[in-house]
Amino acid sequence: MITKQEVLWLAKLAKLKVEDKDLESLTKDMAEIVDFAAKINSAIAEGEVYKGGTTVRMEELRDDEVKECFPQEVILQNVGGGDKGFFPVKRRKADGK
Amino acid sequence: MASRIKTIGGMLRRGEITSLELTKKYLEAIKAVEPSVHAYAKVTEDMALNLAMEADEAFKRGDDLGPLAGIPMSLKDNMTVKDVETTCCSKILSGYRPTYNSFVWEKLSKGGAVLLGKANMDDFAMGSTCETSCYGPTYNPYNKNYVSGGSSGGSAASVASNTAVYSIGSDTGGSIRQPAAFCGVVGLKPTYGAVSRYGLLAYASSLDQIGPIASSVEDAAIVFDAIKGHDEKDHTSAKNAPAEPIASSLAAASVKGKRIGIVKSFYEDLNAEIKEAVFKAVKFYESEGAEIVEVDMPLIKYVVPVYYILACAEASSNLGRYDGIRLGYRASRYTDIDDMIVTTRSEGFGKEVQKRILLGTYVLSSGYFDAYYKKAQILRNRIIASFGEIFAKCDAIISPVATRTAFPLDYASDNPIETYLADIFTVPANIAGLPAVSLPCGKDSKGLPIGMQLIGNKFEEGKILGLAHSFEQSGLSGVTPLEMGVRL
Repeated sequence: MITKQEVLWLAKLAKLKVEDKDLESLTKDMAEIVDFAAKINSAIAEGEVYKGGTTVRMEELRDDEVKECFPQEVILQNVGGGDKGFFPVKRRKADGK
Repeated sequence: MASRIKTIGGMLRRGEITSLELTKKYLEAIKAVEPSVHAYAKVTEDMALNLAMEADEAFKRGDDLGPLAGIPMSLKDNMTVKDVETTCCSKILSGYRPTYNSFVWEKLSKGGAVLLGKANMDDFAMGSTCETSCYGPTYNPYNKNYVSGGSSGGSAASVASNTAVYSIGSDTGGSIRQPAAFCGVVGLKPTYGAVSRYGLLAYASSLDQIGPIASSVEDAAIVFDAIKGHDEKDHTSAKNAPAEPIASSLAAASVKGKRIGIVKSFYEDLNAEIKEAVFKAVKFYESEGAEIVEVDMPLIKYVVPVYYILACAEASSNLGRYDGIRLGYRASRYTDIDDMIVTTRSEGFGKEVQKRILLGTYVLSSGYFDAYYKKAQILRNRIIASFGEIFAKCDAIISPVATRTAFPLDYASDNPIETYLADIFTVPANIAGLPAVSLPCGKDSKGLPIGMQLIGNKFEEGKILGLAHSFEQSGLSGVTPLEMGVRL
């Protein structure tokens, strides 16, 4: 059974904030889904191991070669052109203002 | 069902209508229909008019751009179009204007397609109802008290309401086929690797696939022929997939001698109206000379949990990139950069997306990776192997698309597990990377469309579309186009 503490720990790992008012219902929902997902345990034999491979045929994968990428000014278009070639993030005071 | 693309294409080539006139009709229809359907996240009116004029110029020059030239369509809002806001219908991508075209839009635009707008969808394609969109829900054109399905609900509703001739959707666990079934249209999820995912904003990369939604099987085939093909920018794009066009061979496709698999256990607790509608199709195929073969799928009870473990795990990784720094939404109040990232993600992602990220983080975390993720991968391989055995005995599997017709509005949020389980017939094709088509096969007592599905072996889209076309031409589905939107 997943606990509220685990949900808060997962939120920290995932860089998400869980409001106090949502914690109870989120924990309940996640516990139900995790219990549901645990059904797969009954299908796996003791000692059975994952040997890799899924839908992708490895021989069809392209070679890992460096190709030309977008110029810096194009990459920075979505942050107003950036600031001296960097993604700008405003400095904030500790009170958030 | 006649091919709308061929009919309109013929009118354009004969000069009976220009693409500009046609596009204006569709834009007017969108204005009239949208208040009750809301299939579009964004209408690209100026772009559509410009593309239509370009198509008309091409017709005047005598250029042969292909069957989709000058034809108005919609594109799900998770595929990039250069300089057109692309948000996945999620607040976290608000304002994001891609600097590049997705492979699929690049191909379509070179073929003269006219983009009417970006179709509404569930937030990051996570949902089965199109209610989690940050722009609000898409309603079912058959009855606006019901959902359009998801996640490509806007795509399916735009085609069903005749506010787009066809649409491009994406399917991670049924997101093309289920909304197509709920809205009484045709949806094709191609084989994994048949259509490049370059420019598709990823949800679960090993399951995501782009495909067409259209009003007929032939139209779905025409669009699939136009968007398939190898692309070196997608490292999982298949190099040796069949390149021959499928649409032109549909008329000659024969049911006789085909072996159609039926999984008896699918029908044990199935809604009686859906069972009856699918069995009508089974009887049709039998009467046309197909051999109906009983096949077994003992792993079916595990497909939904396997799907959710893998999809959430991949989503938690793929969505880690959205931090408010490089693109999209950024929180306005924060104390330092760590707080900015946490606040941006918490304000930007919808509740369902956050839940799936947390679930994915859980199954990938130390202590649970072996217990969930690795076991799900073991089962995925077994499911793939079981399909290999099935396709040694038959050419296609027939099944319902969903366990029910369209959900009433607001139903899914109160019943998460039941909503997930409704995907039981669609997720196996994603887990195994197989092609599958959904098409209408009847209506329920509420007048809502019922969909059936044909699953094929890898790269055998031609076979399942041929079978689908034969049933569609029989007229047995009883589903006819709605009297709304553009009628030509």
